[in-house]
Amino acid sequence: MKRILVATDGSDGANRALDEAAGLAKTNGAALILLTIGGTATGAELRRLADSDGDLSKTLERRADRILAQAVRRARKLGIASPVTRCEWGDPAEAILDVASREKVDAIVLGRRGKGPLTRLLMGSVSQEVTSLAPCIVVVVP
Amino acid sequence: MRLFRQIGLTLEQRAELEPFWRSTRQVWRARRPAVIALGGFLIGIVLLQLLVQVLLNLWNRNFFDALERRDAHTLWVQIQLFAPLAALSILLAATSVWGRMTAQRGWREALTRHVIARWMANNRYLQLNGLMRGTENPEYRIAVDIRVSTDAPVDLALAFFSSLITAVTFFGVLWTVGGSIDITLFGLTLTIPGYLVIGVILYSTMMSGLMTVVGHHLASVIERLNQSEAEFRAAADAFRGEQGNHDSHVVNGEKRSEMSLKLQAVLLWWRELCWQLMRTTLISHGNSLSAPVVAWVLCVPKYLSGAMSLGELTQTAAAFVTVQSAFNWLVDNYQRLADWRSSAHRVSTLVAALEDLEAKETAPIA
Repeated sequence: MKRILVATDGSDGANRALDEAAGLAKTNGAALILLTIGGTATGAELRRLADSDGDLSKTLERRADRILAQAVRRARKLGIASPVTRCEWGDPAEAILDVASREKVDAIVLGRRGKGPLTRLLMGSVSQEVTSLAPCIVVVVP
Repeated sequence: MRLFRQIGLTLEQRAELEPFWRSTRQVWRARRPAVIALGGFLIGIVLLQLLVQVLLNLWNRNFFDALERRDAHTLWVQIQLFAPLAALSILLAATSVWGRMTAQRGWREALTRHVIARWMANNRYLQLNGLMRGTENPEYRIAVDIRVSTDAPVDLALAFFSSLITAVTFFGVLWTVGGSIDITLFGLTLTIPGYLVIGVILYSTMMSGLMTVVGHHLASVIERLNQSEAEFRAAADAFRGEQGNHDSHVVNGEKRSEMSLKLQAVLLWWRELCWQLMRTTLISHGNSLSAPVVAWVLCVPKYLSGAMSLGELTQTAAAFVTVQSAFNWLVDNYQRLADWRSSAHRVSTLVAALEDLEAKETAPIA
């Protein structure tokens, strides 16, 4: 196993997946790729941005950067010196499968649940979709 | 009152839209006789349409009065009168479409040719090509934004003028035909003159107020969506531009991610627009259902007391709905106003960049 991909949204479930992925990467001497899929904003956030002439793209980028920076810090604490970061936008399952194929990863590690009740439901379906379609091993961390 | 503030800004942001209006004035001045003739023609059409509307309103009264009296002869006369009135109304509507679209086509053609000439002179299109901020996608600005920015003002201005004179005219109908009403409270009789005028003002204010509360984010959301669409197009354009590079593998990845981000922003704004439109539809559809009923309810006491005939009842109810619709001009059109503002702003930034280049070209060399 040379390349391991872990998807994170900064949630507790994603952090548990990151911990597992870091353990796997250390054991196998593999490179760890941290992926976040940005592009969510609540209606209240959008209305606030609309009224204040804020830049949505920049807000989404900043949020994704924050999640990745947090994940990098966590990975380093777990002994991964230089994790690779990737950021994608749009449909999470599609983005994970796309990056997995582009980066030719040997394993994908996912948390089973994300943030919030709806996201939980969706993340459940994300892990299900990735598990069915991935061209490599998929580890779903409960 | 955020909605009205935003609409106010839309109408008043002179500095931001000044290059657009400056270019418009230039092309209008060059075609002054045609502009005056077409403008006069369109105003004439609006006035004639109002006249037909008033005649139809009177026809309404006469028809229902005859119906109430079971007067077959008058009914037959009214039916015969309806045909020419309807034909005139249809003819004016079709002529209005011709006038409006001719004005829009003329304005668009003149402004597009004007901007293209300035864009192509001295190879300015090469200098503008992504080098100056706010001029991304000039082809799109010329082809689409000029169309939107010259299309909407003709319709909006005519609709505004029509609403204004319609409201004033039908106020008269409500005042004279509706008359006053006596209300007895605690033994005291209170006479309210022109109570239907007061009613329509109160009802319209209430509806506009509700719309303001419910849809006060709509204009800004539309504007942000339009901006995001423009950024998405610019990102796609930049991606296409990189295809010729031999060592563009890494750049392609970045541009692709940029395009994906911009698409995501468009989709998020689209989702928010959907929610905003759902909210405003609740009010606008509710209003379309309730306005005629409110009009009937306000007229019914006078009809039941015998002070108003059936014809007058239908006439005043129709006038009430007409005035109420005229009052809704702002609310009905702020989506189009926001669209227009976005496009006019993009044309303005392109024109301003061209003016900067022209100034540099003509500046004396130090």
